[in-house]
Amino acid sequence: MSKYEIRAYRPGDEAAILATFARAFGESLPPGTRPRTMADWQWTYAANPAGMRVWVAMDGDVAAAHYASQPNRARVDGEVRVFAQIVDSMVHPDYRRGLRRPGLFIETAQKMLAETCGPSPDKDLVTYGWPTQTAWRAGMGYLDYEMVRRESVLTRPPGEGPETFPEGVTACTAFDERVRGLYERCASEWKASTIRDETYLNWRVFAHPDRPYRALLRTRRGDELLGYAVARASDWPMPGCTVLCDWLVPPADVMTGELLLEGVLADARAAGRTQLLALFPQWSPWFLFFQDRGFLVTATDYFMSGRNNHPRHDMFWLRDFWWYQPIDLDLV
Amino acid sequence: MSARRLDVGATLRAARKSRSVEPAALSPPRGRCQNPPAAMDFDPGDFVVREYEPGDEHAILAAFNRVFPQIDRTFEPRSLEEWRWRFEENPGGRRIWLAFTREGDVVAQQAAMRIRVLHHGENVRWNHIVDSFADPKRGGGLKPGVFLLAARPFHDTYGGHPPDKEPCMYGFPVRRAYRIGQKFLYYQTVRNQNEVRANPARLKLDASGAVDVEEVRSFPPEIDAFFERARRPHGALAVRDRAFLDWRFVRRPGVRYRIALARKRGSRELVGYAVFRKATFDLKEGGLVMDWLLDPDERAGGNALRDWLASCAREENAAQLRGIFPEPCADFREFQQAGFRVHPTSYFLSAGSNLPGFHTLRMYWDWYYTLAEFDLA
Repeated sequence: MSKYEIRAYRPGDEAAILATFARAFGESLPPGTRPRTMADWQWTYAANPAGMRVWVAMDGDVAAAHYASQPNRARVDGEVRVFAQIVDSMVHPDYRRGLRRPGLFIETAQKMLAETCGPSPDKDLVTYGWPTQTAWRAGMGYLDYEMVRRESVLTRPPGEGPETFPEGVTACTAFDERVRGLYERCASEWKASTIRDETYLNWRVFAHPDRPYRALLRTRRGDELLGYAVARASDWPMPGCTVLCDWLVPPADVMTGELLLEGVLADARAAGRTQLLALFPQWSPWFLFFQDRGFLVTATDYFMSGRNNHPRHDMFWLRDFWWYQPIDLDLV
Repeated sequence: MSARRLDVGATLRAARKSRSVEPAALSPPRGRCQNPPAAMDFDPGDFVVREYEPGDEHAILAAFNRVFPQIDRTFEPRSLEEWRWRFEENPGGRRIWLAFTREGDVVAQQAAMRIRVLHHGENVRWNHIVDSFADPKRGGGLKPGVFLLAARPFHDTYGGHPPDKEPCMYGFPVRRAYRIGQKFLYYQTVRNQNEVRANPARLKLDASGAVDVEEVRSFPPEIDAFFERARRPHGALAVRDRAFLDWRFVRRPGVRYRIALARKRGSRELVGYAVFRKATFDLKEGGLVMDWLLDPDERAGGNALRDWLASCAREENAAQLRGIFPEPCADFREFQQAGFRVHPTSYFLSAGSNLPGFHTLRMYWDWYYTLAEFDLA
C-alpha cells in the first residue's frame, strides 16, 4: 500500500502544488508552458467554470506528485458532457524513480482517472492533451493514452497589406450571449466540441492573468454576431508568431471568414509579427480555405493524445468528429 | 532449412499463463499490449501453425481469393505471378506465417514484404505487413483469436534486433486490425496520413532551371550513386537502389508505371526521378505520384518533374494528381508551394516493434516514404 496520501485537492494545497511545480520544472519548462503563479493557479483551476480536477500524492506537506485536468463542457452527439485537458502532470524531483515501473505519478493519475472519468453522464468522457514525450510514453503504457492525430499547423507570413481591420470587423473586450447562437450554427456541423458560450470564453480569453488575447468579431448592422477570431502574439511555437487561438465561423459564411482572416493578418502586421499560425482538423473546410489563402501545412512536434471513457468515442471517432482549436489547450 | 513450427496449444497455454505477469513488469513504451484472450471460440489444437514453406503459395492464394471478396468490394483475384513478384522476387525478401486446418486449408496468414531500409546509416530491414487475414468462416475475420494464430508467432519470430530480425513492422491497417495489433502486437500510430493533391490542368509551375526530364522504361546504373546523394536529408528511408526500383516499378506483372529522370542540362547528372501511375488510392482514381526522390542540392529539378507528372495525368485523363509525403520533408512543402493542397485520407500509418523502448514519435520526423514502400498501388 502506498505510503502517500493520494487524494483530491483540498483548499490550502495550492502552496505545496506551486512549490512542487517550481521544483519539478525549475528552469526547464516544457515549450509553451509558463511558471505557475498563484494568480495563474487560481485562474487555471479555481476559476474554471467547468470545475476542478486536481489530485495530489501528499507526503506530509509536500506534494510528491500531481495529476490534474482542466475540464471543458463539451457537446457530444447532442449531449452536454465533459472533455478534460490533462495539465501539469508532475512528480517532485525527490520522489522520481524513472519510468521502468509505474511509480507515484502513475498511481496518482490512475486514481484521479478512476474517480473522475467514465461513460456515465456525471463523469468525464474524454481526457486529452498534447503530452511531452515522457508523459506520452508513461501514459501510453499505463493510462491508456492513444494518439488522436499528429498536429500539422497552417503557417504564412502576414506579408504586406493593410494594418487596420476591414469594415465590419471590430475588436471586443468581452463576449456576450450572442455567441451562443453563433456556436449553435457552427456546432451543427460537429459531433463533438467545447461549448463556446460567454461564460467559457470570458474566462478562457479575457480573465487570463497574463495572456493578452485579441478577439475580433464580425457583426451585421452592429448586432448579429456572424463570426469571431481569437488570436495572441506569442513566441511559441515559433518566435515572433501570432497564433490563431480560436475560430468560430459557420463554414458556409466564406465572406465572414475572409474578413476575419484579413483582420487577424492586419493585426499581426501592425504588431510586427512574422508568422501567423492556425490549426484545424483536416476535415474542416477551413483547413482548405486557409491553404487557398497562402497558408502552408507544416509539421510540428505535437500530437493530440486522448483517453476515451466510452468505446463509441474512441480515437478514430475523435479524429473524425471532434472540432478543437488551440484554445482548447493551455499552451496558447 | 525446415520452417519453424509452432505447438499452438503450448504457445497459447504459455500466453495465458503469462497473463499473471504484473503490468508493472512491462516497459511503458510497449503500450497496452496484451496476451491473447483466454476464452476462444475455437480449439487451437485444430490448427497447424508454421512458417511458409515452398509450395504453400497455392493454398495461400486459394484462401486469399476466397476470403478477401467477403470483406473488400474492390478486390481483384490475386494471381500466382503477382504473388511471386511480391514475395519471391522482392530483393528485401519475405516473411510469412500461416495457420492451416488439419485438412491443409490456410485459415490465417500474417505476411510481410521485407523492405531494405537505411536507418541513420544502418542497413536494416523493415516488414511491410500485407495480405494478413483470417478466414471468417473459421471463426476468424478480424476477431483476435484465429488472426493471432499466425500473427503472434510472426511477430515473435521476426521482430527483434537486426541484422537477423526486423526492428519495425509497418503498414496502413484497417481500424479493426489496428485495434488487434495495438492490443496484441505493439502497434502504434505514426501519423494520420495526408495526401497532396492538385488539378493537373491548373498547376502553374515555376521554371525548372537547366534541367531536362526524360521518360524511361527502366532505371539507369547511376541511380545507386544518385540515391547516396539524395538520401542525406532523411533519417530513415527505403533503399532506392536499382534492385529495389526495378523490382518495384519495372518488373511488376501486369502493371505499367511511368518513370522519368531529371538530369542537369550539359553534365547529364541525375538530380531526381519520379514515377507515375493512374490508379485507385483511397477509393478514388487519380494520377498517383508513386515515387519521388530529389537531390537535396538541386531542388529546382522538382519543378521539371512535377511538370512531367502533370502532363502524365493530363494524358491519362486523371482529374487529380495525388501523392503522399511525410510532413517534415522538403518535398511536402514544395508540392504545396507548387499549388498542391493537403487533404486528409482514410489511412493512418502505424508501426510496431517488440523491441523495448520502440516508439513512433521519432519516426514521424525521420522516415521519408512515398507510395513506393506500400502495396496500395
